[in-house]
Amino acid sequence: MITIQSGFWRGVLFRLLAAALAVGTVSDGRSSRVAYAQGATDPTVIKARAAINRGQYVDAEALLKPIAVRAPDGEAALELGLFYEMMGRRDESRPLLQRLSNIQAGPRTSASEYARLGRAARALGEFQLANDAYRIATEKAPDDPAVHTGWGELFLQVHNNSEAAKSFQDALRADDKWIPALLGMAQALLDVNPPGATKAVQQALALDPDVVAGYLLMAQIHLDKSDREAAKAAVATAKAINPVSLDALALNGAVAYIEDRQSDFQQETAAALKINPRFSDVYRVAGDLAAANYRFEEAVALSRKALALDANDARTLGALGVQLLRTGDEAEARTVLERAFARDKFNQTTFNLLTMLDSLEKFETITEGNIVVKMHSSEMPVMREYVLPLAQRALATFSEKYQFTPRGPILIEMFPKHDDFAVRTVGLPGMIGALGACFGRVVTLDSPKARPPGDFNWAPTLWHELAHVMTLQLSKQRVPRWLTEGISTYEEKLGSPAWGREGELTFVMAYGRREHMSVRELNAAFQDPEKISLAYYEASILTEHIVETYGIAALRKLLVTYGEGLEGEAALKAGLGVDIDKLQADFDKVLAGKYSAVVRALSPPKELEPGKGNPEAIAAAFPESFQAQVALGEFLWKAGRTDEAFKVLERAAQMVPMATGPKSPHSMMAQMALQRNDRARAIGELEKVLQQANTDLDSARLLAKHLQDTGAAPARLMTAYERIAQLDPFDAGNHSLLGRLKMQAGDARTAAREFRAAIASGSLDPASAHADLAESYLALGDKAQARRAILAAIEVAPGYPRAQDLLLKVVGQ
Amino acid sequence: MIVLRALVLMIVGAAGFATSALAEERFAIIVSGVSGSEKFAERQRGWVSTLETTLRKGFGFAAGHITVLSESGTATTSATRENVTRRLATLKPRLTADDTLLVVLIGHGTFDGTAAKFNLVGPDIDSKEWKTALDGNPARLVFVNTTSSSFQFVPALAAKNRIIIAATDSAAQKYATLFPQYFIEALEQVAKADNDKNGRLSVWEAFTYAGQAVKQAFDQKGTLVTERSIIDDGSNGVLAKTTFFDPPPAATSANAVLAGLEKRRIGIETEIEQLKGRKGQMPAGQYEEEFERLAIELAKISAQIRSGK
Repeated sequence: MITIQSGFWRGVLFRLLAAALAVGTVSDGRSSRVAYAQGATDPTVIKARAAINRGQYVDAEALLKPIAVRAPDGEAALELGLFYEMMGRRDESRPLLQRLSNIQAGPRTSASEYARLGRAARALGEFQLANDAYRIATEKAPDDPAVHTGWGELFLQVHNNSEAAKSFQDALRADDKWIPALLGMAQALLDVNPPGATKAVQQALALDPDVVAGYLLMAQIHLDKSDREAAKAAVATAKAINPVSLDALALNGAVAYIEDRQSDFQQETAAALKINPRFSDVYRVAGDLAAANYRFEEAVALSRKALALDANDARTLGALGVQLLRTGDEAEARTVLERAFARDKFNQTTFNLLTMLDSLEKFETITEGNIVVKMHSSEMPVMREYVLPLAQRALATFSEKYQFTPRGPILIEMFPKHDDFAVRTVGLPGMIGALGACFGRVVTLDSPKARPPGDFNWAPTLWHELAHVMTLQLSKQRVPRWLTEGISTYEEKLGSPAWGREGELTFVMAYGRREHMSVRELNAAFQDPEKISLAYYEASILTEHIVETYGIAALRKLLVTYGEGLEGEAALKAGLGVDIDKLQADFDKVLAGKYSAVVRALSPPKELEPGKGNPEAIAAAFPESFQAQVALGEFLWKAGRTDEAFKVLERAAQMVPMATGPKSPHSMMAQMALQRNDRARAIGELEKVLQQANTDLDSARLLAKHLQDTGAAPARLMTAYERIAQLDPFDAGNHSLLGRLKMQAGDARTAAREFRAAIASGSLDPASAHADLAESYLALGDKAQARRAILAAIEVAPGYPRAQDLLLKVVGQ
Repeated sequence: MIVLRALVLMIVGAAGFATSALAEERFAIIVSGVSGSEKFAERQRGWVSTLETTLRKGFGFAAGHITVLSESGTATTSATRENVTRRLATLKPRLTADDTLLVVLIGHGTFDGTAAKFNLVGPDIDSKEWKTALDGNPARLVFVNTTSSSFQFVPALAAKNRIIIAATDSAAQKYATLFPQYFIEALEQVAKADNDKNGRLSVWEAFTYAGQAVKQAFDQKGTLVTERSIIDDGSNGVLAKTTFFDPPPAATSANAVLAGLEKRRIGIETEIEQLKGRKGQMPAGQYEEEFERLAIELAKISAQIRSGK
């Protein structure tokens, strides 16, 4: 489960059936046009391919074999070789393909012969040779869509989707009805442009409604959208055309597996293995789909079964490596990924993961109970003081609340480079808006150094992800996205008063425009980049409503219900005892009660255009408009009518209490107060700003400064320092100040933690920091630690009287 | 922050340099160059004012020994080429080998690939011209160029008995610097910057404090560090560590016992520095044991000295 900061990141996490088009499946050619469009010229080969498409494998072999014997360098030989490959009959396929790939090319070698060479070489894994062959083939036949398509399919196999898309585009430029090119284009677009992929498949199926590969691609697209019913329907159509399609059997089995229909899974598996006893995809595809559904341990088991059938399959090895990383087994993941990379050096994801694992070697590890924390050695000395205690507190809180002890070890990895986090999480850099992720027992997140201070707060991110640990495990990894994100965001809000509020105003504004989601739509919204941010917040309010209405026990029961295999509305009914319509109706009332007044206040009058009109007149005409009041407040402030501005902005703040940013009422009032040197008022306003703006480091620093200068009560100052420490844990000076306050308050334990953090983060005054630490240890009665800290102070500053006195005190002289 | 030339691990004890602290007369020339905008002008005015006050009140520089040349100065106090060279020239005959001259440049600097300049009101003076103006000065020179593109001043001015500090360590660092803010803060808040807690601020400590504070400020903004300060004192830091902004402490007590204790204190401090220098070459346990023994002895003697017994 991924925590999104803002906006979205594109890309699908998991990919199934990476090369479904390995064999050029075609229909039986209802029209001559479509038959031609499959790239063959020999009518017998066309007929054989049509037979393969329909699963008439014996017929296909009977058609191809005599021709292949007569012309071992021809089309039929290639087709037969590929057919044997598909059937797992490598002893028969390899001689055919090797002969084709070893042809003596010369000036008279035709484009078709080069294309056959390329296709054979690709099947044999000789990708450079294949690439050379296709390059020459396309030079010789620049308008041949089959040649361009073959090259595109090679690019797909070596994970170069952008080059693949260019080749398919070239093919479609030559013939816009070239079905293999349309299907290839769909594959190339799956991750980056699902609607484009859908359109391409639909075009292919419109041209030939019997192309099995088209339905399988469509099924894949549906599965990416979590629309399992549509996927099943597409696979069923494919099977109706070819009941023994290996890819269809694999996909059907995979869907059965994740629906816990074990006998169906076994039936499909057995059917596929009967056709091709080495067809490891029956397990690989199921493993991929299990992983896509967060069932990583099952995915690992399935991938291992796939490897038992084909130990050298790079796709399975790569997938297993990723799955092992998600279960926390980094040692075996590395071994497996190295094996994968040795067999497929084109796989960027595998390369990225291995590089990331290299960088993990510079990390340090701390283990406490069932929590393992890994951080970069430059961050560990500071962050260890905070991460482990917070993780322990979170898990203890959730365990008690949900009456569940999660299985460990729970691995937490924090990355100072965001791209390392992204690679650890999805195998590729990027994921700009993502802050953290959870796979059940593995949590990954950006460390504070991954982003500028004040850009995010690592603590609520970790809290959020650890809530996922509970919900994923309690539901046996079957919790739907809306619920796990809803609970995590809800728990974030409970974790600390300022946490988890960032999305509220955006949600309220969307709610006002009726752009929020119904309960039925909520889960799908997590896959829509336009809606995902709203979905997080809405899911948290729905969770809050469930807890308040049905109780935490019911929420727990709902999670367990999902774990028992129930889904969708049935799970809601069984878990909460309520149908979705009733839940929706109640939720509508909750939203209306909570936000209607704010929505009204946020509906801007048409007359309010920035810089236009008389703000006083507009505000008088629209007294219930937040924007009108804020505009008036700003106008009065700039006009020097500060007292009036305060009154107007105070009211505006009440109208939309969750408003944040420099133009929010509290922020403006803080600035106004500072301008007229009313520090008490400024402090009050800054405290209100920080109640909503969790990551506003500048306001926190400003607040601390004014609290310090005015000699404010230690408790208020402490709160400000604590916020700074969370947002910028490497601010050594702040740690020292906080530590001293903690000492004054008699909390020597926390003081010691802060002084250690001050030293570890590079205090500008290390001698004092060590002396501070020594005093806190003395207060805790730990003379040995105190002695070490004093000697450290003296090592920096031998003549430091404070440290010298402490030393004499400790040694009793 | 970079130290030109490798730092030696073992430094000579402070006692060895007791006479080379800012001795006798201390002079300062603060040059606040052209600001370029009101925002920078205001900032420079603040820094200059704080620095001047701190030198005078905090470190006891005689008011007449501090020269401030600024953008808004009068005909004789304006930060012009003529006033700078004239002031240096008139000061030169007054200086002796026991004196110290502190020169601080605040404002903007440039480097065109050939010459590094400090931007004055009117024509600038490049680093070579600064060298000419400063050559022949018998006093110890502490020259602090706090501006952007100040790096070239270090090799240009480096010489025996000189401590040259620049806010930047390469020509590429051409953005407005934070260094002056923290360098002046070090002088203003001695307790924070007095790293060895001996109650005195050395040039090295001010330089170190400012460099670390600059780095921390960049870290807190989450931006790339665009300035790294640099120092060259011709002695791997020893001269900078033993040159202080404040006057040397009063002569050793006439009380023979106290004088003996003071001598012993200095001796132990030297032993500690020597032990620290050998830290990497001896077993950790042995080092800790030896260090603790010396630390306890030093603490006892210091306590006796403080109590006057």
